[in-house]
This record gives sequence, structure tokens and C-alpha cells, in this order.
Amino acid sequence: MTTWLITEASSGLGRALAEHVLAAGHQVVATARNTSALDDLQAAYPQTAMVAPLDVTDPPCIGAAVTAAEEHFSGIDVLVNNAGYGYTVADEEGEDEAVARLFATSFFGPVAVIKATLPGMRRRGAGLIVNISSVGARITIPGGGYYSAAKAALEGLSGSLRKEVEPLGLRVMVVEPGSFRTDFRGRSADRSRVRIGAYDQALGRTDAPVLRPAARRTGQGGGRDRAGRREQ
Amino acid sequence: MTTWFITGASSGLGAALARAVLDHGDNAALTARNTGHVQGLVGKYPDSALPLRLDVTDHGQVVDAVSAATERFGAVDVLVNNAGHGFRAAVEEAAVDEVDELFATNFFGPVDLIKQVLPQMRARRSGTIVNVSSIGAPRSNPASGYYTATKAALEGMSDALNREVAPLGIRVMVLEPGAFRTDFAGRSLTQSHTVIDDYAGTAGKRRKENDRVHGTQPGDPDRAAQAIITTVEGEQAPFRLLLGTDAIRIVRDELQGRIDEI
Repeated sequence: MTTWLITEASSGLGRALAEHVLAAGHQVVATARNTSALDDLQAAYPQTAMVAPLDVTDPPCIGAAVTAAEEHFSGIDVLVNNAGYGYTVADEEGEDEAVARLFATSFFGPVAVIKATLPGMRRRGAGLIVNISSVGARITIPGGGYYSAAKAALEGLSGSLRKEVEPLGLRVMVVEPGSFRTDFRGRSADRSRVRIGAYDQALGRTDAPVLRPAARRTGQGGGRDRAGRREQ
Repeated sequence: MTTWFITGASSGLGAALARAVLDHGDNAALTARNTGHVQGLVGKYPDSALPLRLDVTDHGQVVDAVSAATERFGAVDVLVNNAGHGFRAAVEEAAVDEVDELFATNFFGPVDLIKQVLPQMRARRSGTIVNVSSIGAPRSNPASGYYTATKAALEGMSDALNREVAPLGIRVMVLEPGAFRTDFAGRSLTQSHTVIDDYAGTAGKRRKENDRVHGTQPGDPDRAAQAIITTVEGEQAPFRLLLGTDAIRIVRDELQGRIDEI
């Protein structure tokens, strides 16, 4: 039996992973900013599921969640950095605050969770760190610059981390999902309030209130994306 | 006449490029945190060289420098985001403030400069943005996780930018130099204050006191500068320009490894 810590396990890929790991008989520390969406998991697996509040952009919160997880299950075997969201904007339109928030959630947060988890893994000489990246780290589209930057940063760091911790018995993996039926293009998407018309064509933006097929796929949240862009 | 805006023009590749551009007869705004280091070139080219004090992490200075260069020469045709430095630390060893400074200098600063020059480049429907990355972007080494992250971020952003501005007549290029005989492994390299013994055999070997490459790198910065000028002036610039024979070998091996892994 292994113990997994999964960030933002309340929806999408994180939620699906938590359910499958629990169903397979393993232990899961399921974290989320809002843990109410995890109550049912806790109820279904009272012995093997542990729910912990965790905002990866809040450093004290990270230490508390990792410590609680290690005490409850005597160690974390697999860390899954799943928290993250999309941000679609031309590079010139990027707003400092929004870009900072994106990097805090998609890069600096995961790095902080990794740093909090590493001492325990090194002590045991075993552990696996899984960083959820995206095909967007390699394949960039107009409007995806900051998102690609954050994911490419995470992958670049993971490459070095792997070489640093392999001799200590630890493994590092990067996962690059394509398009999945998650909330990514709905609730998990952010767009800039700044809009420069010169980029409308490159980003496929149109003011026509048309719902394209791609938008329908994601449910109610996706309805806001009138451009019907593909996002990674 | 082409006007270049080169950050970090006081040493290394930036200084070599500044000299080559001015020798070539172009205008150049030479920025550095300490402009004393570019005075030699300014003395030689008083009409075509403009020294500008610029710390790329200071937004006010970024705005002022771009507007001063534009006023003096009428436009910035080529922005070269060259300022940056290395940082050695195992991922676990780095402090938050050390990483914040690195990202501010190597990623957010260049992004800020790009945003400052884009309006005038869009208005003219021409311009070239050259972001100096590194073979460290595609290839991660122990102790270089954060440096690689900043350069990979810069490349990811540049790739999208290229697709956004190409229809507007603006070109974006990324340079991936290998090891050049610059100050990169000397003054330009910082490292974490924290050292963890478990990483002695990996990241520890690449800390400054153990790094023996300084001064013996294969690449000649002056030849790199000529290659950059030729490429920027050429019709068919590649998006990524590898500089140095080591860069070509290392990046090819890395990319082949990624294809094989799929």
C-alpha cells in the first residue's frame, strides 16, 4: 500500500486520480483550497482517505498539510502536483498580477510542495514526484504564452530535480496531458481584462456570441469562451 | 539604419554583440546596471552608441530606457534581451528570495521590455525581438533547475509571442548558446546559501567552487555576435538559433532522447 498526496483533488484529473488510487486500495491525502468537494471521498474511504486544506500559493499552509499527511500515514510515497489552471492572453496583454498568480499556482506552488516533501522522501530513500504539466509546455499557441512559460518552467526544473534525487532513490515524472474532459476550459481558465485588438485574429477572438462545439464540451463554464479556442 | 537595444551590454555576449553592431555601423542603446562598463564603446561611437542605466527588474527604469532610446534614435528596431545570470542550487537548496530574484532578472524583466517595445513595433509593422536563452532550456543539469526553468519559461513565452506578432510584421528569435568564453561561470553566476549534504554528488559538483569550466569554454563571443547580426539581417531567420558546436550536439541529443521516450 502506498500513500499519495494529490493537490487540487477536488475536480478534473486530480479527482479522477484520487478515486482510482483509493479504489485500488492505496491511501490518499486529497488536498484542495475548498475541501467540501472532497467530503464524499472521505466518507467513502474513512480509513484510507485524508482530506487536507491546501492553497499551494500559501507557504505555511503547505508545511502544515505535508506534516499532517506524514503524521497520519507515516510518510508520502507519491506526490502529485496537479493544481494549476489556464490563462489565455496575448503576451503584450498580460497583467502583472494575473501572471504572478499564474506562476504562483503553476510553478512556485508546486516547487514549494516539492521542497516540503523532499526531506521525508530523502529520509526514507524512496518516493515519486509527479508533476502535471501539459502538451502546452512543448506546443505553444497564440494566447498561451504565459501558461506555456509556467509549464515549461516546471518541466525544466523537473529535469534537474530528477538528476539530483535519483541517486537518493527518488523518482521524478512529468505528465503531459492533451485535451481531457475536465473543467480546464471552464472554471479553471483565466483571461486578461486587457484586450488589444491587433491580437484578435491571432487569438481567434470574435465578439459574435457564438457557442462553438469546443465550448459545449466543457459544460456551463466553457460557455464563456466564445472564441472556441483549443487550449492545452 | 537599424537601432539595437541590448540589455546586459557591459560584459560577455552582450558586450561582444554591442561592439559588433556598432562596428557594423548600426545604432545601439547599450544598457547595463552600471553604465561605466560601456563607456569605452560610447567613447569610440559617440553618435551611434547610447549608454543607459537599466536594471531590468525595475519597471520604471525599463520604461525610461526604452523611451530614451526611442527618442534618441527614432525607434527600437531590434530588442536583444541578453541580461541574465546563472544560479546553482539543488531544487531543495534554493531560498524563495534567491529564486524570485532569478525569475525577475531572467524572465519577468525580459517580458517587461518586450511589452514596452511592442506598441512601437506594431505601429511600424516591423521589428525583431531576440531573447537570449541557453542550451540549459532544453537540457536540464543538476543544480540548474531554477536557471533552466527561467530559460524554458522565456522560450515558451517567446514561442507564443512569435505566433502572435508574426502576422503584425514582427519577428521573434530565441538564441540557445552553448558554453562561451564569457563571465557566465564567473561574476554572472550565483548560487544558493543553503547546502544540503545529500546533493554533494550531483548539484554540489556544479557549485562555483567546484566548477572548472570558467575561461576554457569552446565558444567565441565575437563569432556568436557576427552570427546574430547575420541572422537578424537575413530574410529567413530561424525561431531558435543554436550557437556553438557544443550546443548543436547537446540539443540534438536531448531532442532525440525526447522523441525516443515517446
